Amino acid sequence: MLRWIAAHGRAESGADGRPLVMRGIVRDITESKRAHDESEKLRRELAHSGRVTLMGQLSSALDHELNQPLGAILRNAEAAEMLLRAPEPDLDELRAIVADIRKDDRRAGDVIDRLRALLKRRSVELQPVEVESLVQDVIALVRTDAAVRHVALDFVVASGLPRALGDKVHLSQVLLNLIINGMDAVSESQEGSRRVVIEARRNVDGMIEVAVTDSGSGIPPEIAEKAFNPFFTTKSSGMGLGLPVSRTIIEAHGGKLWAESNAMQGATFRFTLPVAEGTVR
Amino acid sequence: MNKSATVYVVDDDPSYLVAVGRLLRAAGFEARMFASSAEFLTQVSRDTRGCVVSDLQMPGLNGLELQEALARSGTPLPVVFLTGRGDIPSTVRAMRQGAVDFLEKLAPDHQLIAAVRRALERDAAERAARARHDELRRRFAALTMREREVLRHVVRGQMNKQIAADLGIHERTVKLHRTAITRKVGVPSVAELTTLAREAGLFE
Repeated sequence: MLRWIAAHGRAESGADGRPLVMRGIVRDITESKRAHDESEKLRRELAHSGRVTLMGQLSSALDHELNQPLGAILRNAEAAEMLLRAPEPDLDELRAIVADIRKDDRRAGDVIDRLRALLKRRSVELQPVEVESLVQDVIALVRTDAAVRHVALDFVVASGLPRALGDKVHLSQVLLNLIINGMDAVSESQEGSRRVVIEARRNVDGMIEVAVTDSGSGIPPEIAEKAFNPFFTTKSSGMGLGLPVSRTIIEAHGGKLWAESNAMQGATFRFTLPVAEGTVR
Repeated sequence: MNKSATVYVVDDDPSYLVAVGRLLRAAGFEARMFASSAEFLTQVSRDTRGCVVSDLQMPGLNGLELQEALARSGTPLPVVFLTGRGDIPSTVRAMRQGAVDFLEKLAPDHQLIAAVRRALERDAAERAARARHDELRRRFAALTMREREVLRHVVRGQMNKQIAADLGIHERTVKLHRTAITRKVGVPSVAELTTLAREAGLFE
């Protein structure tokens, strides 16, 4: 097995300046190297799966794969309308058109099924997850973005928090999404008062609860529930899928995700996760 | 390829391709369908007449690259682009390259048909201009070296006497050359001759 070794040392010289002896330490850093590599890998996976693949797949599915069959259906229907204006319409051609419309309708339906499967992805692998390191990893991902946008990111974690049962990659995606939403929400606020706070604790039901609170203008009650509807968005460039996808993911974990508007200011998005068995302290 | 004006539809999606073809035919156009730019380009020749309706995003040569290839091949057919939604950078580039129109795939039929009509009209006009240009060049090419020299002076507005002096020939010879020029190019007035010579790019 490959092991990683780090060595630090200093040579001691005699009166004539010639080196006599070397003192120092040699450490086996295999473990920390492995942990570092793993978090690097996670970071890459996240950047990929979170921002490129999922959203990319969704928008390309919508823009291209759905537009093709819908476009074909439209053109066929228009052609049929024109043909029907003839005194003796070409029935064979019309039959062919209707058959093709059916075929493209099914094709559009298949695209939607695949989209749904993508959103509900069954491949959630539940494992004990250290919530603190999970949140830290996601914060590391958005730190540069936050600095550029002058948003302060804070993380408060309750001591002795047990591990959650969850899928690291999916949960990271949820957190990433909530934190980015939070940063978007404060973008109109004055510089210096833009703040997003992430809190992790155990709630009265014994579940692990993670809250992402922003210092923005809050959510009007009529929007709070709509925000979880697919394709509902208040952003000019958003697809309106972040929250519904996040809620689907959290529900697949047996938890809940909801929005709260704060008395003071800003909004909180809160989700719960089950505690991993055997880690209850 | 076909001598009559044809709408060449290029789209990698077979269903959409067939459906657009049906619509254009139902609307009375001559239409031919191609599943890729490469397939279409093998069929294009200098006397291909009509316009292209092309998908913007395609594997292989995309719509913009197809437009470039057509321009390079000396058959700059007008192109109507079809696309998904709001692809601004491509739109700008296509317009700069002379796209006739840029439509969303789900644009209503009357918009598509109007765009195709405009493209066909543009092709006919550009083709006529090109033909006229070619014909002029052909006529001017029939002039001898000496006749060209005389013409150069005529276009500058010089009188026969001056031309004769400049070229060191008899004034009567200049007159003979001018008669020959008029006969070969087929216009009697100096003004018209000047315009045509400029149009044919003769003394640039």
